[in-house]
Amino acid sequence: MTTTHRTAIDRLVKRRMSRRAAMQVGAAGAAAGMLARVPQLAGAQDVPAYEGEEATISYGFWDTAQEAAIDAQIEAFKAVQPNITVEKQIVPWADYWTQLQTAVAGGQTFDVFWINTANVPVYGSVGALLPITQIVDVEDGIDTSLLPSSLVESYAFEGVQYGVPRDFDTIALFYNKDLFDAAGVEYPGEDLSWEDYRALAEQMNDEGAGIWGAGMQTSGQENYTNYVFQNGAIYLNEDLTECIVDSPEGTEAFAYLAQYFVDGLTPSIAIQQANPVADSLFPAGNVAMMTGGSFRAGTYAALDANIDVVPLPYSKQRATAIHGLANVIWANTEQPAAALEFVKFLHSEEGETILGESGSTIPAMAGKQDAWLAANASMNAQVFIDAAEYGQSVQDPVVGPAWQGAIAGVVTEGFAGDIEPDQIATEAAVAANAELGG
Amino acid sequence: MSRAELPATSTIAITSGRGRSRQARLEMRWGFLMVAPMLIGFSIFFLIALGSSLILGFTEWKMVESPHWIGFQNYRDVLRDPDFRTAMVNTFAIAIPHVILRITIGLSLAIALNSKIRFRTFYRVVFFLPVVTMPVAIGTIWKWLYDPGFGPINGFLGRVGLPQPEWLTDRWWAVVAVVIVLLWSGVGYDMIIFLAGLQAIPRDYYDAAALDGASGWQQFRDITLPLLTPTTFFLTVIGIIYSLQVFDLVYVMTRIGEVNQLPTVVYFIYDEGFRNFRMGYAISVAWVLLIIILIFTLIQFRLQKRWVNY
Amino acid sequence: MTTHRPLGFSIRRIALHGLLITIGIIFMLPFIWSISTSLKPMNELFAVRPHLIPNTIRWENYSDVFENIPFLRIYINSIIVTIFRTIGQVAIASVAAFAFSQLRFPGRDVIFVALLAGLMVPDQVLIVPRFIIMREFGWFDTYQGLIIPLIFSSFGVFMIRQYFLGIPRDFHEAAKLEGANPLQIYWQIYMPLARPALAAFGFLALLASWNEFFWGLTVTSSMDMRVIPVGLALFQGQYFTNNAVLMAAANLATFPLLIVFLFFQKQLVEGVALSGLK
Repeated sequence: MTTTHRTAIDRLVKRRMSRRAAMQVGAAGAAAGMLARVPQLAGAQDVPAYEGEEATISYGFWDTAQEAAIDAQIEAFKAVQPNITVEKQIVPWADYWTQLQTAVAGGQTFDVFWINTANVPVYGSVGALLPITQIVDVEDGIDTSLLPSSLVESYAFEGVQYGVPRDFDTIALFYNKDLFDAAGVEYPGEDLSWEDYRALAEQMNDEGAGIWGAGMQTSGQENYTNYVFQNGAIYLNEDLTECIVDSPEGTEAFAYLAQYFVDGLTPSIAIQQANPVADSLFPAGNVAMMTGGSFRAGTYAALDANIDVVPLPYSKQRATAIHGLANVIWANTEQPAAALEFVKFLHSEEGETILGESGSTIPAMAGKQDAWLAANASMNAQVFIDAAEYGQSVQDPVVGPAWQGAIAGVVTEGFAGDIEPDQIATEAAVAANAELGG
Repeated sequence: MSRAELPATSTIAITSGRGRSRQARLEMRWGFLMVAPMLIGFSIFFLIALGSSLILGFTEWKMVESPHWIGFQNYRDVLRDPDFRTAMVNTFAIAIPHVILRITIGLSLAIALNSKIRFRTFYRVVFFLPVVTMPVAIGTIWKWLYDPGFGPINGFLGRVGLPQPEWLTDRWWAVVAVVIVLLWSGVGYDMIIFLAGLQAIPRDYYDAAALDGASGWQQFRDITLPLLTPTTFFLTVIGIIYSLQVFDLVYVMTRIGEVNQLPTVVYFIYDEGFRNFRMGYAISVAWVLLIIILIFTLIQFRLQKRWVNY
Repeated sequence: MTTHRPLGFSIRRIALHGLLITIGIIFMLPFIWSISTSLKPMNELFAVRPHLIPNTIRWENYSDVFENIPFLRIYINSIIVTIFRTIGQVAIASVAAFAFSQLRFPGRDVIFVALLAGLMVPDQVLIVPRFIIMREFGWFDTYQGLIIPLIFSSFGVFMIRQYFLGIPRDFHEAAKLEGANPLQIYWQIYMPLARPALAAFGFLALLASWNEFFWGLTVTSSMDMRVIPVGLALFQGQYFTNNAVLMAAANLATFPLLIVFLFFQKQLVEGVALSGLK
């Protein structure tokens, strides 16, 4: 075959291919065009400053317990910017993310809304969020030096700040004073090593009385993630492309926890399935100690149960999983200037003071946490605030949080005894990598 | 009894063409006119969405950004995905016993409560209660009943010396447990539809049969059962369509924390689409499910000629 | 179907009642449980072996329902939406069912199966296109957005079609000979004869509409347009749910359904019983 022939055929093939490709692209494009005016990466250009024009913006969030605080924030904002109306839109927690995805895909969503760290890379990478760099650490802007730094970093993606934390939560060790009194055992101290914790759990375990020494939840945030961090392990490599929790430190952390199940120091998975530790076994007095989040303090304080709290046990280092929410802005909002104005207010001295006074969550801004402490005065809730200092965030890759679910599945199997304790980290890494690579 | 010999109109082939009389044309026009409202609404609010989903099934689509075409890749992946296979097995393991038992029990209840039995209104309300009870309440109470440590079921089994399974943790016991709950919450629904179906049977038939000395059982076998077949057919088709899509109750019952112990196909779709940001893939799974259900439904429509009396 | 006995006693009858009562108790348990839970103070909710009768009764759980969300407004929304959806579904589905069961027209069976396909796809995968259609119509946060897309019930068409097929065709032929058109035959003959099926479908449609969650969540955004199931979901928090208040709200939501059911179940079995062929 001569070269000319060849090129002719090539050209023909190419043309045919490209026509087919064009058709495919056309079909996908038709669907896409119908689907989404999803923005392509919004540039870093600044939004023009707000100049007092009439504007209505919607504010999406999920927690009804914070509704009163948010009403008060909106009210106070109205006094500062009388021409901006904020309409709150509350979505049930269980459906919040589904709704957000649908609405972003459908091209119409909240102007300002709550987001967690795991979703920032997902939405940030596709340009669905408006950068707020222009109101951060500028004169009259948001002062990040007052906020937990690990969380501030979590709300940046590839160097662009999309939000800053409004509140945070950390993990500590709750214990039931009555059970310790009855057993004549001294309360856990502020300075517990893993070995001390384990020894206490053994001491408090009383099968006959139906009391477990420790309540090992299946949750990563409230349980195993803390131990992974304390032992010096992390979940993902630097590029966030591979799970490396199968390191010796990670392996040891999971094996340490699984051993509690093997030795019967914690309620089995089957029992926990019907009676979750945090919602039933611990507050009901069947579990002596449980690592749990600051968000449980209010509920436990409201019970008559005699519950107090100390910092988490530690291994190679002190560590707690820290988490918090941010207010972010939808990139396609018709009112970017007003939205920025509102976000700036929410994170201002006044905005955070109002949030703090509600006592419903720990405000992120240093010095605003007294009301939350007062609301939980029956226990030493200060440990949660102090823990922020050694708080560590879980890394968040662009592909989304599916890898965390994969790990949770393996860990639950491990706790149930279907995987050898020292194999949990290995299998968790395999499962997580399947999600990260896929 | 001329009823049973009447031709099943639904299965008559529509003869087309030249010989069509004016009357047939008129009937055709009426036919289109009367299905028009349904058809228009269905097209706008369903068909358009279904059509776009057909295209989206061939894309990689995170929802939050534009989809891009990847051809048959999703479908190739579905067939190889072990998680999909597990979900499929779980779904069928639940659906098959569920449909069969649900119709049998629903029919028995309807017949018992269609008779002039005392307190029947009370019974009807009682058996219908689970249908109106909130899924959260259903999940919570049954979790407590099944609780291997503190629950009454295993307490009872232990006392009479029977094995005490870990109902919701062991996969196959979980299937049994879930089917029981689905039956419990669904038989009242079928009972209602059967009760309505029973009213279509003319009372004369029973009177005539009684005169001929037919026993209660004979009347049931020769009159009730055959004349109820349109309803039974309906419930079988609908039962399969719905039970192959079981989702929330199974999840509420069997999950531990966020981990689902008994994922079904629709759970898998939800999980992939929303939690894992793979909506294109999730949609292709939904299409595989649609085709499977459609095949089942068409087979049933084929087979109905053999057993359904119109 | 039962033979009449002067006194309702017989071994079989007692056995039947025994069986029904046993099953009945199991069926009532969750209902009793949800009432009991709705009256418990918070510290009793966590009990590992829950008491059926609370140690202290806390009626305030019911008033808390109204304090947490604008429950009354949401309730009224649900009533409005349910009434219109139910009427719409029964009207549209029964007309279509008549055509599918009694009239001949080309493509009839294919169209019918296509309608059924509407039941075979989980809502989740269609939600984005449907969301966009609502956006284009400008129906977000409106009653028409809540109502109109949900008045087309393939389930209803199928259910009523089956019932119509069971009605002896002689009725149809006789009316036709008298010169009635299909609409008249549908309205004057088939609808009255199908009362039990219409009552059953009407009630099931009402029930489905009352409990419909996903669409109600998707097309509304302001609290003033929410419907009951979405309101109930708001009582379930990320980390903590006060089950007592949740159950109180759920009971308030369920109670009217039971009243309506009492009414409907009569229609369902004591409607026009077919008197056979003369």
